[in-house]
Amino acid sequence: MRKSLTAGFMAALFLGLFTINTGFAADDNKVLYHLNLGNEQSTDALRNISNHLAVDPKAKIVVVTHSKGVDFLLEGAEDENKNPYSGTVTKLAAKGVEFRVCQITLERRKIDPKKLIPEAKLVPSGVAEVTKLQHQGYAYLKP
Amino acid sequence: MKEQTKFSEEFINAFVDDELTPDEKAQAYAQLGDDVVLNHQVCELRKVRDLVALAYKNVPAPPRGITNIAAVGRKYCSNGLAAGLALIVGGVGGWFLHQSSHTPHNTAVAQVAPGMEDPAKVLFHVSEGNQEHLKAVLDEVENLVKFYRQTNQKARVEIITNGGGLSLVMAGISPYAERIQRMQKEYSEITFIACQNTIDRVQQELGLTAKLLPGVVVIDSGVAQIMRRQSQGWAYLQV
Repeated sequence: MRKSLTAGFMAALFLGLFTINTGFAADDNKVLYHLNLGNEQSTDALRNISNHLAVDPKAKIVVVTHSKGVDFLLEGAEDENKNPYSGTVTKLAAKGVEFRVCQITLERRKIDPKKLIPEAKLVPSGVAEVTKLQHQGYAYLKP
Repeated sequence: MKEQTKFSEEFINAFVDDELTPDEKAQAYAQLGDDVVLNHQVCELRKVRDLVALAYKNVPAPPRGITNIAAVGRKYCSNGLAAGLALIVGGVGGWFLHQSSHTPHNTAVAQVAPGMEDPAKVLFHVSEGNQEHLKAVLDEVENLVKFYRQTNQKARVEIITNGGGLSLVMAGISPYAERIQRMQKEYSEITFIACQNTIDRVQQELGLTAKLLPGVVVIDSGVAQIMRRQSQGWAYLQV
C-alpha cells in the first residue's frame, strides 16, 4: 500500500509542478525597445524590430520613446535617406507593435501632441513606462 | 586623520537597511564620502544583505499536513482509497508549491502599481563620461523622481557609474558636483554609486587616486551590482 501511496503522491506532485514551467512561458517573448537618442537610433530600431518579428512573429513588442527618441513619430518625419518613417511605423503597428511617447518630453520640448502620427500613444513618463514594463516581464533592449 | 568610530554598528546596519530618519541618513552620507573604512563596511553589509535576500527569494513554503492526512488514510482506508486520497493531497501539495513559486514573480509585478507599498526600484547605468550625456542622465533621473512624487508612488533610484561614467561622481572632475549635492539633499530616494573595480583601474592605469563626491557609495563591481539588483526586481535602463 505504501508503494501505491507514494506513487500516487509523486505523480500528483509532478503534475502540479509541471504547470509551474508553463506558467512562465507567456513572458518569454515580451520585449521593450528603449529609444531616446534620435533618428539614427530609431532607424536602427525599426530595422531591428522588423527582423525580430520575422524570426519571432508572436513577439509582443512595445517601443518606448522620450527625449530625442520621439522625433521619428512626428508627422512628416524622414530618415537620413529622405524616406518617411510613417510607412514603416504603420506596417509594424499592423503587426501589433505599440509606439509610446513620453508626455514630459512633449511638454519640455513644447511639441503639440497633435503633431504625432496616429500610431503613437501618449504615456505620462517614458522612463517610468520603461520601468513598469520590465516589472510586467518585458525584456529591455536598447539599440 | 578623521575620526572613524563615529557610528555604532547598530547605526550602520540601520543605514544599510534603510531604517534611518532622513536627517540621520544625511549624516551617514556626509561621512561616507571621505571615510574609506565606513564605506567598505557599508559595502560589505550591503553585499551580505543582498545575498541573504537572494538566497531566501525562491524558497517555496513546505506543503503542510500531508504526512498527517496520509497517516490517517493508512489507518482507515483500503489500498485504493489511500492511493486516491494521496493523489488528491499530492495534487493540492503541488498546487501549493506552484502558488508559492509564483509569489516572487507576482510581487515584482505589484511593485510598480500605483499606491502599492513597495517602491518602484530603478537602476540607471552610466558607463560613458561625455558631459552632454551626464547631463541627460541627471535630467532623466530628476524627471523620474519628480514624476513618482507627483503620482504618490514611492521610489528608489540607484545611479551606478563605472568605466568612463565614474567621472560623474569624481570630486574635482565631475562637471555636476553641485547639482549632485543638491539632488542628494532634495531627493533621499536617489543613491549615487561608484564601482570599486573602476576606481582600482584608474589607480593602476593613470596613477590617479579617485576622490569621490560626498555621499557617493562604493560597491565592489558595477556590473555585479546591476545583476544583483535585476534579480531583486529592479528595472534597468541606460540614458
